[in-house]
Amino acid sequence: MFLISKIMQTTKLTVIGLVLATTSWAEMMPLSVKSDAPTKVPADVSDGGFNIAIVRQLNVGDVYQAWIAGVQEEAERLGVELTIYNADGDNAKQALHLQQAVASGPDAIVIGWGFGDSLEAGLSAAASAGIPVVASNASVDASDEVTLVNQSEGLMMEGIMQQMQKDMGGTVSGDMIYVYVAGYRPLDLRDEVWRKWKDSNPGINEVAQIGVVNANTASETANQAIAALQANPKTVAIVAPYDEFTKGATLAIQELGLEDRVKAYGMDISTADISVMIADNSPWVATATTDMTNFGVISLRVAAGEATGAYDGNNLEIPPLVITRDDLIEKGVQNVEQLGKAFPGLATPGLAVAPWMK
Amino acid sequence: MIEKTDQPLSKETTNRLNSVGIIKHFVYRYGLLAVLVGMIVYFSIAQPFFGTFINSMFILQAASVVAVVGLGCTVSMTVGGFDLSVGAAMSLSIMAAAGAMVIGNFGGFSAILIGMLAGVAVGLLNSFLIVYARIPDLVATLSSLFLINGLTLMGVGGQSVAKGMTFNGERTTGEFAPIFKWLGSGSVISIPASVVVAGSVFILVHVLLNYTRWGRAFYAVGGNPIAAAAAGIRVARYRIIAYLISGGLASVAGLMLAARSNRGDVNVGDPFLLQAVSAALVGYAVLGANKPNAFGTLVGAIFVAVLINGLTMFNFPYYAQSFVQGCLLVVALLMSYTLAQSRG
Repeated sequence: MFLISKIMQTTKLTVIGLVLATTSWAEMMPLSVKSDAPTKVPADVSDGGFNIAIVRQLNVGDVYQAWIAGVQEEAERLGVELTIYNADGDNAKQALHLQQAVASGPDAIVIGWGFGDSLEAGLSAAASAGIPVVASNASVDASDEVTLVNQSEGLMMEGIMQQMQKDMGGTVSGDMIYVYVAGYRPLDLRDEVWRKWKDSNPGINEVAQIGVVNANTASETANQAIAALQANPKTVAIVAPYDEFTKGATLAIQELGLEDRVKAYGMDISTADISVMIADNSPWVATATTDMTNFGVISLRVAAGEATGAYDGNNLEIPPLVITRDDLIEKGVQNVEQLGKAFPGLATPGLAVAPWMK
Repeated sequence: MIEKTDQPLSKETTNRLNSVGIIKHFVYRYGLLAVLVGMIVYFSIAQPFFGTFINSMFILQAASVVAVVGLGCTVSMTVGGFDLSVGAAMSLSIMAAAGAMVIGNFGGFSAILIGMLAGVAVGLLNSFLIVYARIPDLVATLSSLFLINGLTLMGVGGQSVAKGMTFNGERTTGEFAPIFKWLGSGSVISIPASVVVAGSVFILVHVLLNYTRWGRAFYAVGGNPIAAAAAGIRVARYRIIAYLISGGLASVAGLMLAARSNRGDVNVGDPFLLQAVSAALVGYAVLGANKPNAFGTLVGAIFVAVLINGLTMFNFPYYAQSFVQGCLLVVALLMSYTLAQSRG
């Protein structure tokens, strides 16, 4: 019972984000395939098997299950043998697992979620052992040895703003409520884009900024949104770029019966989110997301590429897809399993493909 | 004639009975250790990296935190008690120490002291509830589990403590002290610091329980408190001491955990209660002790760490690992309860 509640708590906080380490992000360079990348797996890598260790912070839950399924799928395609370490959300255990993985001498390591503070010792051991590390959705700094794979927070925010522009017939304007809490890296990155849009679109009138992150994010955001909507009756949209925020915003609009006047623009997608979006008269009109299985596929692919010296750069952002309520209803999508089939754009087959992988 | 036919028959029967008895006796005393050794040999042959020195150190590191909490549980079990609050005591001391450093800008030694005091304070609370308020152990420590977990969360506003966190609207400036870095990833002549700490705790608890007057008094209180009191043992005092040790060791384990993760995570101690209790229970079956004992608890903790380490190398899914751990516990309990009874 305690374990489950703990994992749920960790899951929630980590999905929405990892506290930004105050160190520099200046050394980040976009990842690209080298022009002289190897056309087959080098002998020193394939010798004794092509091995990649997966060091996971979180493993219980749909998101993590989908991610690891992608990792395994791509490993099979590329002929990579995996060793998977699961920390059950225990950062101390993950720290030890990383050191253990380094000591076992794989060709590359993928970190699936995790905190830089905890992984410090293991990362420096990997660097001195010359083992490339791919940090997938982990709050770790990029370096010569560490490559980051993340969903593109900036493009996700850009995507829903463009959708809003389309919905409003070309100009974004009107009274808007914005949901944001500072200090979470993904939210901070999304916030940068929001501020850019506000600057270049004087029609946007941010009448209130609300938001709370805790174990009851959705319902407490809803309470705040109800107050803000009542204080600002001319509101046309709530920009809520995190699914717990969007659920709260949607609930608030519904409770006040404002579905026809106020729309919610959100982010992320889960089966629960889909059912909220496709419900009758739901005000949640658009969301931006990446597919978790594809995220796993790309993470493993980048690790395999790094092991064979196929890339320049150390930062890869997986482009998102904007999904509207109308799209979901039209294609009859009711859960995340159907999502991939209905929206082939969620898969990014051409991303980070080295010549030997073709 | 009759004597002649009778003689060999009865001899055969005795022999058979004897050999069954010897096997039973062997299984009872050495069964778990034999399984452990067999497992180590098997894993080492199947996966050469398993048997290396460096991997054995990883196994011991993985066992160290559970072993230290488990040794605390063992002490409370010797007085016939049961401490459900050890996980909460761990979480409290982690938050107290991490908060002291990150939010309060304290140094490493003050933080260690604060963390340990927090654990001992939980022991005091339990002692008060059990010895003075006369609440049964299970119920008393269950209530302190919730009290302490709640208190911990209230203290840090429900968030994890990490370098650069925002507390009460301000960005914190403190960070984990070097002594924690050492405890988390340092070593003494290539033996990891956490293994050294756990080894020392084991030796202290082993000596305490087996070679001191206190140890004999603990077991006497646990065996029969009324007889112990009649023999002049101050039962209340020894029960208080046992719970203080349990809380204190939980805080040591908490500090080890915080040092390894370099963070104070919310409720991170919770899973260790069940891990520690099961290590102590597996320990009953080691060397046929059939009572809480320090060596058995250590073996119990190492057993699970060996199992998980080996299964991970064979890519056993994480959800199957719990199941295998459950099997181990059932086998151990069969040995210490069922087999012990059939021996008479």
